Amino acid sequence: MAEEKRILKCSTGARMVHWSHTICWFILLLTGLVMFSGWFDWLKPVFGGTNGANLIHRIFALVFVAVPLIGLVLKPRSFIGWMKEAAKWGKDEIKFMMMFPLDFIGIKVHMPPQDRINAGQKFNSFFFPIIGFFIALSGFVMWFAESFPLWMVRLAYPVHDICWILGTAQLCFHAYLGSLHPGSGEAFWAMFGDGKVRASWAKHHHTKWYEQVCGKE
Amino acid sequence: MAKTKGYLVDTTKCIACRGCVVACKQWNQLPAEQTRFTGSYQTVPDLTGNTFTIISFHEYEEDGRIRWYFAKRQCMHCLEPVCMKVCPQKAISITDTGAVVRDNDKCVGCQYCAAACPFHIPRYNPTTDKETKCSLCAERTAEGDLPACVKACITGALEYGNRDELLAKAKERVNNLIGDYPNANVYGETQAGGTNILYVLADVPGKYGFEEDPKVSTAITAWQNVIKPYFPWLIALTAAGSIFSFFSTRLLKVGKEAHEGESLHG
Repeated sequence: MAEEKRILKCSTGARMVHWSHTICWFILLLTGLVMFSGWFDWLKPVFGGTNGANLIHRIFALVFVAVPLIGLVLKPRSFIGWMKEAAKWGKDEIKFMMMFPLDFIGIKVHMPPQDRINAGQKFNSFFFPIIGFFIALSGFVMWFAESFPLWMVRLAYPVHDICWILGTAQLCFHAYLGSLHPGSGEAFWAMFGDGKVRASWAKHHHTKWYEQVCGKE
Repeated sequence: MAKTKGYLVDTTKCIACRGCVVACKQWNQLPAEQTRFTGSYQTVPDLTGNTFTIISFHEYEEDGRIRWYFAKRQCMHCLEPVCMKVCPQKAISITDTGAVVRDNDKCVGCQYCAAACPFHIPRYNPTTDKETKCSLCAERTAEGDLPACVKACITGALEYGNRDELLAKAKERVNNLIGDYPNANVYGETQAGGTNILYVLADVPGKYGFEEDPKVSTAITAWQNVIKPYFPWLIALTAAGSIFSFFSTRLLKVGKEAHEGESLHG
């Protein structure tokens, strides 16, 4: 059989931002846990004690903020395009979200046709940037506490914690759905491979997008 | 709660000699700091990482004459210290006598305590990378000695003893003052859940630079009582949900049928 046609789903820029943010998130999570609770004392030696963890946390906090900004500056069109795509919600998206819990546990459902990113991915496209924004903002207030009014500093701690907990909880779903969930393998390699997916897979999972790219049959 | 000890600051007896400030510096072996003249008699403008107590000066013109209010400021040694609660390293504890003390080795300088304290007391020392504050001279009182500041006080404005006895004394003193000072009050009995350091104030707390009713911020209590203990379970929940889905989808074999025989892992 001839090599199947493959089409580009995730651009190099998108993959680089996704990759660097994945690394940042895990380093920030582990170094942050050292500060969060005594349960994670065993992690301290890995980062050179609390001071080391503190320093690494701040360095990667800067990277965490810089990465999407660099992406925005270098590829403003593709960034805005992504946001526009994610903001496009219609009947198919709502139907997808409502039927999703059934698909999640393994009950056979017929999903409505999806764009390049499906409704769940559209949700994530807003969820993670918003979470990231509030984490960065509250972290900034905590870092430069002397320059902010006391009520802001006091609010920053619970905000920072709520955001990373919500983010990490969603990350569990996100990581599973993007890798080991049946049918997700292709999407996983689209993000962590060369960005391309098999055309037949795209036709099945992202019908609307497939028809845009390859034309209706 | 067990009987706790603290000291009473009778501001009506204080002459602002700042003997207590010097004694505190000496006992805790804290270096002197250079200050600038800003037009006030108050020599040390604020608590710092190297200054655990100060006398704050407050000047008012009342009835055509100048009135001076002096207030010793330092850790209030709360009965329920929120600094202890927020400390992620459990570096802050209460001694048998009720003094709120820090373990310098455990402190990592994260400054959570500074943000949480309703009296805004703990200060960061950048040289040592630690948060600092008064310890009520716990190491001295454990040996039966007086706190350094109390020992140095020449007017009897500072008195160390059992909190309940001092509270009774403070109330009696306020009763005596009330004729000349109608706003006289006891500070520290109920503020922030009660403190081991008590004050006799000749006028409303605001005139001494104190908050009338300092409270532990709701943001801090919500953070410590709700978010920290319960929210992390969300992560366990979504992780468990994903593991459940991993098995249930394979058991129900939805992959094979719904995805028309394509492989599971690309």
